[in-house]
This record gives sequence, structure tokens and C-alpha cells, in this order.
Amino acid sequence: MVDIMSFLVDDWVFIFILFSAITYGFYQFAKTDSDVSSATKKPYACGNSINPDNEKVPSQAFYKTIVSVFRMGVIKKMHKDNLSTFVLWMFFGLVFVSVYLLVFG
Amino acid sequence: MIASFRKFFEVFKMAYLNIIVPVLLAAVFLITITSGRHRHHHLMIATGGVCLSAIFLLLDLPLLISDKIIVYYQLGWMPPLGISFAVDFLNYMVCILLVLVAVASLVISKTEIHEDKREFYALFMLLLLGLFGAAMTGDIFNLFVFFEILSIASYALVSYTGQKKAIASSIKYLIMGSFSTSLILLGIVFIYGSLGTLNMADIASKVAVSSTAATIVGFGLLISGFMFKAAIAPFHAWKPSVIRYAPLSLGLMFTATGTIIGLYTIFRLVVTVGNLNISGLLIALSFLTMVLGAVLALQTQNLKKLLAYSAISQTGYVLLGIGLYGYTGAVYHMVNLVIIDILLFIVAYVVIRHFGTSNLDKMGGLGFGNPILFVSSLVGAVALAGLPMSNGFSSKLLIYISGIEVFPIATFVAMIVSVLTLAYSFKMINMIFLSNRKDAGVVKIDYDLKVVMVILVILCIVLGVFQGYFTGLMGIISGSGLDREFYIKAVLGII
Amino acid sequence: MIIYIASLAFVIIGIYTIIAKDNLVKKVIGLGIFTTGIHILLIALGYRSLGIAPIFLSGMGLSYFSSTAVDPLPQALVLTSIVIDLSVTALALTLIIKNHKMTGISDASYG
Repeated sequence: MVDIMSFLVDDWVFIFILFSAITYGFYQFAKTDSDVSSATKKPYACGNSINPDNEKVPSQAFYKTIVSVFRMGVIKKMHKDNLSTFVLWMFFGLVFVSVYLLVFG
Repeated sequence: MIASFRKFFEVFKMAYLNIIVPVLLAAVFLITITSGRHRHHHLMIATGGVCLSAIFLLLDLPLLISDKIIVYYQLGWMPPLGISFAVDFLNYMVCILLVLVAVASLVISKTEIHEDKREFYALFMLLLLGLFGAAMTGDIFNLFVFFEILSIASYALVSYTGQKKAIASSIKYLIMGSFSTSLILLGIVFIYGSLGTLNMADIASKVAVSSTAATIVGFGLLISGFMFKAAIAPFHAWKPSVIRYAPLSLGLMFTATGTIIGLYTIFRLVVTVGNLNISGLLIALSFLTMVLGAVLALQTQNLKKLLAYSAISQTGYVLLGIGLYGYTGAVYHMVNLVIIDILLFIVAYVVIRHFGTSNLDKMGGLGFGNPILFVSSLVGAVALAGLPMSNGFSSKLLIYISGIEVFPIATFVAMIVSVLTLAYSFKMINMIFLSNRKDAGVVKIDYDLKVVMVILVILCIVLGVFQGYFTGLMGIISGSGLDREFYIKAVLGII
Repeated sequence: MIIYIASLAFVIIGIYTIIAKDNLVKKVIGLGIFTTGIHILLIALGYRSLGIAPIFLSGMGLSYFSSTAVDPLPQALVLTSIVIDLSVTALALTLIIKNHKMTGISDASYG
């Protein structure tokens, strides 16, 4: 029986389930102690109260730092819908593939 | 009993491939003959065609298991002269995946497509015909013809909605697409000129002996043409705008089937037919694809575009698997990718229909009353990022392992991109389900969509948990693509 | 030899037209030139000077036939490809005309 199970399921599955159970235990343990009132559920806003309508974060705000540090906006700008550029990329890709195959293939 | 059963399939062997294709053709003719008045029958005829071909596909399974490969010679002409069809486990798996995508796409289209159903389903069936043919053929010119069939059908389908943007993106897709298919034709010319044959098995047997520079360039042209369909990095630019402006059922069809058929043909050409040593090229292009897709998906505001970019990014993983000689992981990831794609596209369809827009900023608050929708998109996001207990993890693990054996930097880059995948998929979850604290109400999901979603969630978890079993299965499937000697002998009729 | 150079020139001119010209109709013309170049190359592959039509008559010897008949396969391929090219061009022009009617633009560089 153990052999069949180890054939079907890898070890990491058991480990994952075990640790999930442990984590769930911790969670239950912690939950009984704490008292969550509605006041602590409010979003942290530097002392100001926020109107629920303004709570929404625009999708551009996500990972803004990563995007600006690694200059990812440049790649987005390259993807303006210009057909000639796209075909030019395809041509470069074709040349790259062919040259690689001729040199190394 | 078994002998008579076997004899039944032997009789069917000569005709079975001519069954799958005419089923679709019959569906097309029925759709074109029926008038617009019987609009309720069109979906039924289309679904019937797909189901019938699925049944015939399943009927072939016993023969395939006993013979390992089914070869059909068109009109009885043997390979170097005639067109042959060859189906081994790899082709078979591709066909099953195509059926899966087609069924899911039809389920979505049931409520999405309102008018002109006849034209829609006729073109849809033509697209599927091209896909099936390209998945089963053993002749490169025939492959080109089927690619053109599916391409022309998809150009027409992109402009189906008739909006300005849809027509513009259709024109762009058409010009880029016919450029790429012309490259395929040019590659075929080079290969035919240098080797004097069009049959894949015959090319595979001749390529080691009499390969010249022209053959190599021909293979390069063919691979670039197929990379366009799979949306590998320098050829990926068609995908976002096409999926943005086409209906979502078609978006699913183009994304998933393009990935399947493009990657399958690259696998077949590079590994089985050409036996080319181009892992450096594949790794370089897959880095570009993975990183570009993930970076663009991080920044986009549009749900449809996010799905398109994520599909581009995940396609890079499969290519990386092929480049790192981790064929089992590559095939496994291809299956997982298709399942996740279908799941996320169905979620996106339901969500976009609810909000009436695909802009992520105008969504939010669905996570309170929609457990099925929330759980299925959570499973989809988790599987996309490759967290444990999901199918994405088990296939990415195989690719990482083969990366550590061959080229450790590849594993590093793939892991970084996995983190980016987690980032953008949870951005998607947050924007749709949490973001706004106000409850956005309960979304009405159709019964059939619900069933498909539950099945796909279960599939995601099963493919993730029973990794050992499925790795063995995928090993068999990718092994049938690797066994060149057997393929050549079986198709050329030497055995 | 000159026919190979000519077909290569056709292919290069076609690719250049697709990439460099902004007008969509010109791009479609470029596609046509590109595929025509490929067709010329394909026909040139099967060409044989003073060749005969590839029809095997009863009076011929097999060795005579195989040494003088032209290769029939490229012609079949070109015929297929021409039909495909025709349909793609027709679809492209239809879409471009529809686009022009709706927006008044036939350039590739708009968003």
C-alpha cells in the first residue's frame, strides 16, 4: 500500500499537508486569544478615516516601485500598436533563428 | 472476443482519419446550408461535430495502445510519394487537448454570441478542422495547408464583432500571420529543394545523411513560422490586441490552441524530424518570452490583455523545457497550461459579463458572495504561479530539475519569472475580488459554466497531487516524440 | 542561376515593402510580391531545360522518362499556394476596405 502511494504521490505532498495542518493549528490557537473588534478591522490610513468608496487602489499602483526601478515602462511603450514595428521584430527574429542555425546547428 | 474486437479496429484503421476530418466538414456544410432562421440548431450541430470527433478519437485509443502509432496513407500511396497521416501518443494528446479547448470555447460561446451564429460556428469548425489536420499530418506541405486553413479562419473570426478596433487588430493579425505562413512556405521550398521530399519521416531519415546549409535555413524558417503561432517572443506581438478585441470564447481558442499547435510543431520538427541541436536558441528565446510576458502583465490594466500576456509568459516555460532536454516537463506544462488557460478564461468571461468592461480598475468586490468563482480563480492563479499542490508546481518542478542538470541559470530565471507570475496573478485576484470593500453582489453563473469550472479545478488539483503517476504518463507521451527510429520505420512502412 | 537571384530579389522587395510602407494596401501588395518570389523559386526547383511534361505514356522507357520529365510536385504545390494566397489577399482587401469605410484611415500606424 505504501509503495502504491509513494508511486502516486510524491513526498512533498505529505510534507505540504503536514505543514498546512500545523499552520492551521497555530491559526486556531491564535484565534481563540485575540479579540477582533470592528475598530481594529479599519484600514490603516495614518490616523485619517477613509471613505469606503476611496479605498480602491488603481491597478497601476501595484508594484509601482519594481516597475519604475527596472524601467519596465520602456517595454510597454514598445508595444504600441504599430504593425511595421511588429513585422520588423518578426524579421529580426527570423534572421536570429536562421543565423543561429547556420552557425551552431 | 478480443480478436474480433481487434479486427473491427483493423477495418477502421484505413478510414479512421477520414472520419475525424469529415465530421468537421459535415458540421461546416450543415451550418452553411441551414439558414439564419434555425439559430438554435447551429450550436447543437457544432457541438455534435466536436463530440463525434471526440468519440472517434477515443475509439482509436485501443489501437494506438497496441500499435504505439497509427499511420494512414492517403489513397494508399506509400510515404515518399503520397500524403501520410501519423498519430502517436504525442499527436493523440494534442488532439485531446484541442477537443477540450473546443468544448470549453463552445460552452462560453453559447451565451456570448448573439447574432450571426451560423457564420461564427462555420468559421469555428473550419478553425478546428485546420487544427486537427495540423496535429495529425505527417507531411510538411500538408501541415502548411492546414496552417493556412486555421489561420484564414482565425483572421475572419477576429473581426467577427465588427467593431473598429476588432477589424484593425484583425488586419494586423492577418498581415503578420500571412508573413509567417509565407516563411513556412519558404522553409518548405528550401527543404524540398535540398532533400527532395516532403514527408516528415523521410526528411528525418535523410537529414542526418544529406543535410546542407539550405536544409538548415529551411528548418530555421519553419521554426520561425511556427513560433508565430505559439507567440514566442519576437513573434508575440499579435496576441494581446487580438485577444483584447475578439470575443472571449475566441480569445480562449486562439490562446490555447495556438500554444498547443505551435509548440507541438516545434517539438516535432526540432526533436523528431530535424534532430537539431538548438537548445541555446530555444533557451534564449524562452528567456525573452517569459520575462517580456511577465513584465507586460505586471503593468497592464486590462483583464483580457493580462491573460494574453500571462499565456505568452507561460509558453516560454514549455519552450525552456524543450531547450533543456526536459521533454517530460515540457509536455506536462503544456497540458497544465491549457487547463489553467481554460479556467481563467471562463472566470474572465463571467467577470467581464458581470461588470460590462474588461478594465481591472472598474472591478472589485466580487469575493464576498461567489465562492465557486473565487475558489476557481484562486486555484487558477495558484496553478499559474506554480505553488505546491497545484498542477503548475509539478510541471515547473520537472523543468527546474532539468535546468539544474543542464544550465542552472535557466532555473534561476524561471524562478524569478514565477515570482513575477505570482505577483500579477494576485494583482488580478485582488482587483477582481477584493479591492473594493463594498460587496459587488452575486454573479449569475450559468450551470454549464459552473460544471466546467468545477471539473477544471479538480483537474488542476489532481494533476498537481498525483505527480508521480502523471510524470510517468507524460514520460510515455514525450518518449513517443523522442523515438525517431521507431517513427521513421513505422511511417515509411519498414516494420 | 538568374532565376534564383530574381526570386530572392522578389522576396527581399516584398519583406521591405511590408516593413517600410505604412499604407495597408501597400503592405498587402508587399505580401503578394513576397509569395510570388517564393512561387518562382519553387517553380525553378522543378525546372529542367528541354524537359517534357510529367505524363508517363506507354511508349516511353522509364529511364528516358525519369531523365527528361520535369518535377511535377512543385507545380502542384504552387497551385495550392496560389489559391491560398488569393483567398488571403481577398480577405485582407475586404477588411481594409471595411476599415477605411469605418474610420477613413488606411494606415498601419494608428492605435
